[in-house]
Amino acid sequence: MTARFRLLPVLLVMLAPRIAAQGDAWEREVRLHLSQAARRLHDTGYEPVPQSHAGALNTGESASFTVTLEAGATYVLTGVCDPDCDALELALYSPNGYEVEAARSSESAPIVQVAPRETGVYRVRVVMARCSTNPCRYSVAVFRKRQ
Amino acid sequence: MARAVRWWVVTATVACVGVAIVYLPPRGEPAHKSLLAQFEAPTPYRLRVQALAAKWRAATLELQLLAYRERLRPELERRRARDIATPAVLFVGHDTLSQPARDLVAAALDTVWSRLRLGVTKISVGVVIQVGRPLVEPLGPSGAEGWTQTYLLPDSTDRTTCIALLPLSTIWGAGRSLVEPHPAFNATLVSFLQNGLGPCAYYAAFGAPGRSIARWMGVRRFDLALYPWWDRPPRDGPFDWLITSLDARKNPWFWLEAHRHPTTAVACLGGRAEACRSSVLAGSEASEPPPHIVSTSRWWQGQLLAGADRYFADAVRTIGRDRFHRFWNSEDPVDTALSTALRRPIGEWTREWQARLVPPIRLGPASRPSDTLLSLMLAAAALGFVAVTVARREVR
Repeated sequence: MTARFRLLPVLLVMLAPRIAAQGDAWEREVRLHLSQAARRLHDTGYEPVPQSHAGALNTGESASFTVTLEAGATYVLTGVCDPDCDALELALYSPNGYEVEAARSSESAPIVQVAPRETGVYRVRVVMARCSTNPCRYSVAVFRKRQ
Repeated sequence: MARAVRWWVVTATVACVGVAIVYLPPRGEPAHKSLLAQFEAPTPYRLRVQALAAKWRAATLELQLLAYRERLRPELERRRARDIATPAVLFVGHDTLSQPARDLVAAALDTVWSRLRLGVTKISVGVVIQVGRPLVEPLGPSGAEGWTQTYLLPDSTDRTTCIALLPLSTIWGAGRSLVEPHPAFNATLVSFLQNGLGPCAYYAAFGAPGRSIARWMGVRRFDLALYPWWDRPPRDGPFDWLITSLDARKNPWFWLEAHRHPTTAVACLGGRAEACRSSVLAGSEASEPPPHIVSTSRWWQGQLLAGADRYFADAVRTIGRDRFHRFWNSEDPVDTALSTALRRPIGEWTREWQARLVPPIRLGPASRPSDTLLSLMLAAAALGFVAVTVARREVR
């Protein structure tokens, strides 16, 4: 399983030009940023988990999705958005609804690192804090530290 | 009986019979068939039925527009993936157009898109040309809604597509030339399509509006953003005769047209800056979510501001696209965002804009100098005449 995950960032990088042919210019930009982030995280020992989420939001809007995280592992959630996006926020909520971790600085590439104490379905909330031309495309990917 | 008195009696009798015919419905006839039935207050049952019918019509229209969006989706996605700048077109309706006519419409849309300097846009536009009567008629054959331009704005299920439904008659207007054997490119068709893009052109050019601006526009049914005419001189726009009809120099009955507008709009026509501000900001305190479907208001219903349909287009031209873009996407309250973009008080800017569009009308009890002079001259003549007459009758 680990070996398969190890191949994913490489595949992402290899497939980037083909993936880039899908979607509009802004979506392609987001995918490019995500593949760059995947490469950087891969170099620091993280493997992507196939639980990513993408969409478009106007300023002030939010979206949520769930990810399954295992206790004992270390995860990184990274968000990227298109060039019109000035601030994207990420927050992670535990299965019982409490906020576990959040990245609310005024950045367009927030990163949340978490080592969950219990295995379960966590909720990720993405907030488009500032977008100069609505809507802004974003994507959130989950990475797990290699054991 | 004197002859004159007889005539008076006959006239009075005829008048009484006339009044009786108008006001008294014949026995056995339901009251709603009388001539004045349309002015009678509808019953609660009728009001309830009308409300239900309105909801049904709205739901039918929304479903129809969503179906059009789904039909256009593959083409829109293809265009996005290939960075094709122009809108996707779909032809629907009872009548059909020949392939050359369809190509002509697509070419005219390309021209409009290029004129408006809309390249590859974040929000794609799909134009549905409804040729002839709609396939589904929410109001029945006599309904006027079938000929209203309607827009499905981006919503939470699809934030990047705006659909414009443009009814096109092949009997009159821009569509007439399209059914000719050799349809030719003409300015009427281009104007029709440019007007028809309506709020979708603003979404394409500047993105989706900020929340406060979207709510404000929703309440006003996008009246300030109905026509994307930022590529034209201020007075060269749609329905210019409406503006002409408000010009006191050209239309002696201008006040009839002026007073179809709300009081604040009339005051703005009179050059009162505070009224202009109120007219522009009407609805800016709205808190309800903006609608996803907008139908163009009927021009004869009067506007909150005279010539409102070109307000934003003129603002884009005057302040530039960048400043308007910041305003449109702003999260500030409407008055703050607009005055920041205009870099002037809203009332002052609007008063000057209104005066450029329509010469200010005179308001209040003041009379024109020429009228005052004429009155004084008449009074002087009358006094002189009396003085002369009195002098002649004087007994010495």
